[in-house]
Amino acid sequence: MIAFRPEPPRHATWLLMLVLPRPSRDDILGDLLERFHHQAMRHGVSRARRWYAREAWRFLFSLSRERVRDVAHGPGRPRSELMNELKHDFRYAVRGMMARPAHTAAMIITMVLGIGATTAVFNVVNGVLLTSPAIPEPDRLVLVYEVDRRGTEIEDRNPVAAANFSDWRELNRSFTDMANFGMGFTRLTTPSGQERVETGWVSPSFFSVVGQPVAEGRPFTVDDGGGDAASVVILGHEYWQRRFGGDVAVVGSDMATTRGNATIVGIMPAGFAFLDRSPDIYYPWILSEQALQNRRSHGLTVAARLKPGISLAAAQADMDRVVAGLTPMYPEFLDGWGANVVTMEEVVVGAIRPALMLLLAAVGFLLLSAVVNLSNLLLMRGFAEHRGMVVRAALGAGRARLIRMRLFESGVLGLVGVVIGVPLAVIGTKALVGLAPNELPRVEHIGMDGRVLVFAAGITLITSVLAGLVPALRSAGGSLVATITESGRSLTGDSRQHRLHGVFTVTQLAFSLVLLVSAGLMMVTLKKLLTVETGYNPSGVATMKVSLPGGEYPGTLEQQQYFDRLLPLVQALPEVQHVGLTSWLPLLDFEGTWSVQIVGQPAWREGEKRDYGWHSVNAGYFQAMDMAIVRGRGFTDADRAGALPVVVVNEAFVDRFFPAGEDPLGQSMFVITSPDSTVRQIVGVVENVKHDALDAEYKASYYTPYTQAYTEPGGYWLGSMNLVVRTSGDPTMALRAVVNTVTPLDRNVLVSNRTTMADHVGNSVARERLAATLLNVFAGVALALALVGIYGVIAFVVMERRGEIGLRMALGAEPANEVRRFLKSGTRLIIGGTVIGLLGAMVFTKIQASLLYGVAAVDPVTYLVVGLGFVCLAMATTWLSARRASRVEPMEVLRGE
Amino acid sequence: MRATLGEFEHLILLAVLHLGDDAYGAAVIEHLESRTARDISQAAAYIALKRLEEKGLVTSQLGAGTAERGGRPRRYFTVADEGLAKLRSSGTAIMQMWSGLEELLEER
Repeated sequence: MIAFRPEPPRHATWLLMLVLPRPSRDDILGDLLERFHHQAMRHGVSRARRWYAREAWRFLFSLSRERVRDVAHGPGRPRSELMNELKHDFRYAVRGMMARPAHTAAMIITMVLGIGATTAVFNVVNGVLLTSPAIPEPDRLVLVYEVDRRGTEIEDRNPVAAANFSDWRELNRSFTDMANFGMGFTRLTTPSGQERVETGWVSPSFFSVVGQPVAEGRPFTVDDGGGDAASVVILGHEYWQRRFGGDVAVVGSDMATTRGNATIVGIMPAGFAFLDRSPDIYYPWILSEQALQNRRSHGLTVAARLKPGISLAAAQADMDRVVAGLTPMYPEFLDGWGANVVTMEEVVVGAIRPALMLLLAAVGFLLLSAVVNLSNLLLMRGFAEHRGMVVRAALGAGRARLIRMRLFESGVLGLVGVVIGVPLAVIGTKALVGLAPNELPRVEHIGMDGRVLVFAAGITLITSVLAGLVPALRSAGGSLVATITESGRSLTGDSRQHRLHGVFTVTQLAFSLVLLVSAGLMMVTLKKLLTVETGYNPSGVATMKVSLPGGEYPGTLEQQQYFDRLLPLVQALPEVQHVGLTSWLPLLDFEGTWSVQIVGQPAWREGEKRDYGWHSVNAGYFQAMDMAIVRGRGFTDADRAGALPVVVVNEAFVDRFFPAGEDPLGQSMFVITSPDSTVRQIVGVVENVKHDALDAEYKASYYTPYTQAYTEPGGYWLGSMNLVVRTSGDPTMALRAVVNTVTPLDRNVLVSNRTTMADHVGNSVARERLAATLLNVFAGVALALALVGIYGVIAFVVMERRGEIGLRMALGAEPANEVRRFLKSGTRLIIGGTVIGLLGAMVFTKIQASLLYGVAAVDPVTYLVVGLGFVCLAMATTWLSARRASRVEPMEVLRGE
Repeated sequence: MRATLGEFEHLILLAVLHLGDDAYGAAVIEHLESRTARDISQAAAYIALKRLEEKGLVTSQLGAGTAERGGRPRRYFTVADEGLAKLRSSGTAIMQMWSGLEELLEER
């Protein structure tokens, strides 16, 4: 009777055979087997198997650490002998590589591509996602938004009304403190001329929320807000260095700001950045008693620091509780509103993270593909050198030595790969950042640091070992006798070897198909985004933002007069066809929204969602953007103060307020939640535009002429406007001419965001373009590797079976039949690779779902087109390679045998 | 050569002594595990045994295998004279340090 005996995991035994020093290998293996059986009886087979495997790995790590292997090779074996052996093996590996330059070049290129591409992508991921900002405990920093659930679309990152902020700050139990802040730019007049500086407006609690005390001086206090003029400022460290040479004595002295003279009370620490910005000058932002009563206008950005031990979910629950408590007290303001707690990390990198993770996964596939390719190449080389190895084995080279020699080769390759690949990765990183969206966060953190180098070294080591392992075991495997007999048998070749090549080829085909499908989906997305009906024509349009200093232009009237003077000057430039002016530029600005009332329709009640984008534009804006007037008319220069107040609405606005098909033209409307309650007549309907993003929904909005703006003293309605210039030629050329017109008119005016409308469009899809471009490159390289792989494997089999083919042809077989036979075995590999690849793609493309637009992750058309193209290419390659079979000369082969 | 024994080496030597004629690798480790209630890495134990042998504190010889071991031989260890001397000296040192502290250190 045969008793059932459990067996330890085979891979573990195999690992032990590899690592245990020969003199004690047998007795240790015996001991482990004996203990394995004891464990199996006592604790069950599966636990014993786990134990055995764990101990085997421990041997691997301990022995390599202790170098016991060297010592244990027998007492008294001198170290220098081992060094000599290693040196010899190294030389052998290099010599072998030099002897086959083409083959070696192929391996080096594969290695360099794999390591370089992976390192470059990881470098970016490391800088953007893995580097912590220089803020104490950044993971406790959150931003708190309001959620507007009143409309059809939920807006979950709405700014906060001051009165709500004040209540939250008092009632929450989750935050150490909350702060409001804002970031912007301004132009300062300094003794050495004009300069553009980044500004931060922060409440006194800001410093404790970010957890960063000032380096010199004091933070702001609630007393700093008296009067309208900011009397104190805090300087950013870099600005302090740049302008004051790091002189501590400036603390306490005065400097001129756009808001008059202010005392410098503090300096921020070096390297401080918040939300990826580091302002040069901080102004105190103290909400007045009156502002703190306002629950209607939502305008504050709010940061908070979680108390230690409070999770994000707990804070969210706490804020839900706070809002639920407040809503019954102010139902007209708070019905349909909520609070949303988001980590600072999510705010900064949330948008780019999916694209970077996708690229990291994709480049991982590329690396695996490179590993398989290397394995395949090494395997072929191993085969070619079989006889050499046999002779060595016969001369007494140990099995371990033979394995080591093989691994040495892939190790040398890895070394070359890392030496060429890492500098290549540096260049690749630059290219990658260039392709990335303009607002790619934390760009300054991207650079080769220790972690990237360790990563590069790690993947090189893994690649070398993985690629070398199978060929190494193959070349050293089997008994000596079998090896010698095998090498004598050359008519039909070795079927095990073929199976391995087959597995490798199928794997490579599958990897490359996964990447191809992923790239295909991204291409479809990009195409859909770029052909989306935007409602305007971006080509040939130059844009820039013109911001007027508050001191010189204290009210809307002065601002209006400035543009009255500027626009004709720009219009007069020869290359300018139409000059437009708008308060909010699509894809650049958020729309300012106000609630509207159509005369004759039910009155607005507090809390009802009726706020839509209100744009101040000039008569030329619609022509400059090439937006079609669908009904009625656009604006003319006659629509001025004193004339009939007019408004143009868009199609979505008509759908919203005149759903029954009433004629909007001639109807009157006014804005409720603004000091400007002028009743205006609707004189035209303009087509919808994609304002926030190309993949956003159309939103209702309305346009009024800037010449009829509410001329409030102290109002800033027209303080910051976008010039939109349609040109006859290259818009980038026109930019300079326009700036040269704007600047002389008033040198204190700040011109920013000088670019073309096409750039705004391009930048808005930069994330998708980055993913699409890199996926295409990765997929292309993987495809090339796979095609070379299948070509090589068929060529290899043909070459090996030359004897057989020659014999058959000598006996009358048709050459075409021979080709067909090999084509058939190639087809099997291709079908296998395609099926596995398509299934793999279904899983892989799940991670890119959030990046897709207008196409599903499992889109049958893309899968079919890519799959078919792939099969055709692979078949063509196979045929090219299989054709060699028909060129076998029977007589030559038989003579050779 | 190092003057004192490492703790682990010390334990292994004692286990070999305890087991007498039956001190082959697996038995030594099992003995250690049951007496010290520790999870002992097999690799660490064999490395320690190897070191002890190189230092001349133990000697080893191969014995017959069993079916349970797939017919592989057992390696039996014996504590050499030098090992006994080492054990005695470090044992004395420890006992001298313990003396007078029994009240404090021994579990009641």
